[in-house]
Amino acid sequence: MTAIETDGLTKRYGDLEAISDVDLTVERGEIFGFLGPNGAGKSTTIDVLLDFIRPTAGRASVLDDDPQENPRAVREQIGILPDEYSLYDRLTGREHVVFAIEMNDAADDPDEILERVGLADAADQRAGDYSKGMGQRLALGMALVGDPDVLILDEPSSGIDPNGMHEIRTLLREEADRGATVFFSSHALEQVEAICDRVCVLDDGELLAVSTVENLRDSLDSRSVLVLTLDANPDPDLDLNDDHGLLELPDVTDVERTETALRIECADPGVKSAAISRVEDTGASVVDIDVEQASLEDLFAELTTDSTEGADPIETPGGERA
Amino acid sequence: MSFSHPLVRADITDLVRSNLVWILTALLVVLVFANWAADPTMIDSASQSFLLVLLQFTHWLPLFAIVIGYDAIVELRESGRVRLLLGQPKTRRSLVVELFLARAIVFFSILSAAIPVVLVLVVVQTGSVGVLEFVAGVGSLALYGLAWLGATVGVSAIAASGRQVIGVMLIAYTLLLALWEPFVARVLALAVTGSGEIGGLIEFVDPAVVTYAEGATWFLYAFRLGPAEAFTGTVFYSYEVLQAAASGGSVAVPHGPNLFGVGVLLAWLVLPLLVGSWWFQRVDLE
Repeated sequence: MTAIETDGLTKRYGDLEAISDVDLTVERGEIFGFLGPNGAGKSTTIDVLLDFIRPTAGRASVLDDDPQENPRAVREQIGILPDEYSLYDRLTGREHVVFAIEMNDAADDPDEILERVGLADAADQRAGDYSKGMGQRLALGMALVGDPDVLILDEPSSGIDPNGMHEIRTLLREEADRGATVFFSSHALEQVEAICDRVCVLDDGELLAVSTVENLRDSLDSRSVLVLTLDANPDPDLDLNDDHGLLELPDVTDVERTETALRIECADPGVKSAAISRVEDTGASVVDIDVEQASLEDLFAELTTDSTEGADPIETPGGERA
Repeated sequence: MSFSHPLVRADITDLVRSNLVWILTALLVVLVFANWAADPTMIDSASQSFLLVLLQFTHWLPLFAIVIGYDAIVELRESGRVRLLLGQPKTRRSLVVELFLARAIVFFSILSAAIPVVLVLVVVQTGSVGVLEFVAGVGSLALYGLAWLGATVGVSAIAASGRQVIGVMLIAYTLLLALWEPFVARVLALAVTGSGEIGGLIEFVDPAVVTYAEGATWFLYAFRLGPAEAFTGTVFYSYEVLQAAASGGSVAVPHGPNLFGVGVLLAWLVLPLLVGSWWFQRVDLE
């Protein structure tokens, strides 16, 4: 049974297509990152999953239930942290969690939930006095009530400081470890990279890629950067423009030279050994070799800036046809 | 006080902790006192004084209902709280119903602070208030208030902003209450009889005596389409019905127009809520 599935999901506002023909499958137990620039359609997709908005075409299902046809059944099994929500200003943090516990007919201990999201000390403070980050933690705590099978979180790291982001990563990992599916959108790419089993990238309402971060990197980043650390003996006649003949090699696209290192951009990773040999042939002594990998941020930028409307989404091992 | 509905309790708690509820309660009590102080003779020893005094609420109560109910649903959408609430196992329909219930409880709480004041004033000046008079009066007042609250919450479920709700309800207040007798009812009469005069269609004597049951038949129904007129009729009609039931006597006034008036109040309560709920289930919550 899949946790989340969309089939040809489309939402139009007049002439504007917010999401277009999105096919997506999230398996149970996955931590799935939903990436995309502002306005890409992430929140629209999540809003359809939560039955906040109705699709123009296509369908969505959460745990095999249609959120539009059976919203209550879906909500009984999920915990959500929506985008652009607000709390009851005059209710305390504990009262919010108790409210969620009663609504879900759950047996959770409110203090334990508040402890998990780091609000134990502010439990009796009114939510209206909370900072943005505290409000986000509280809403996340409410989403955890009842041990939901699926957590759908829209930008959970919004307003959270770096320490808090680490805590949230730990918390999401704990939820996944107990068997929950975690589906979340985020701009914090390092957070997505750190914990997600798979990611998908959405841009301009279209799904561009679905895969593991590693496979996405492999498929997109055919370029790699070889960094060679050279013998530290300074050469008084060092020419920083000397490329050691590397640019004569096919598939070496750029060379940057410093006093102690060479940064070699390779269009084909297979050229790396030839590049090292070429440098050593020129008499230089290579003392360390490093290969820079593209960060998820680089991949994200590459995907979203190079995307061509109507192009087929990327399929990679570990992913599926997006 | 404990409710099995956490959403109702949360909404009430949030409202009660705001200053608004206390301000409205104080304002209603002050209005009752001020009205009495301006004309203490409005309470005399005549029978049905309690009912007559309750008629002073006809113009105030809708405004209180509007203030209490206007943001019930639309504020959830404007603030985004609806997203938090619909993350819980709730349907949109149950959200509308439970939030109406919460606002109704708050509304009755405010009203329940003013009723004892009326009761004391009448008892002090007349010596007593009959149980049937009290039941008929408070019951009719509650129905009248709920009619306005239901209409307001229904509009709140449809409107895109709180201002829209207030605008629509103030127009409704103006047409159905302030301008009902001097303008709308006369337009109705003009349309049917060719004359804008309504004096011959209904006898505006003492409402406690007339009970709005006399006059041209069609007009007795049409006039009660206005909730204020329906309320006035219901106050005295329900008292007569209770009296007749208690004493085994008969009701002097015709049932038809007065029951129609009760139906009008129920319609003002239920129909906007149904339409609002229907709309709210279909709208995109962005």
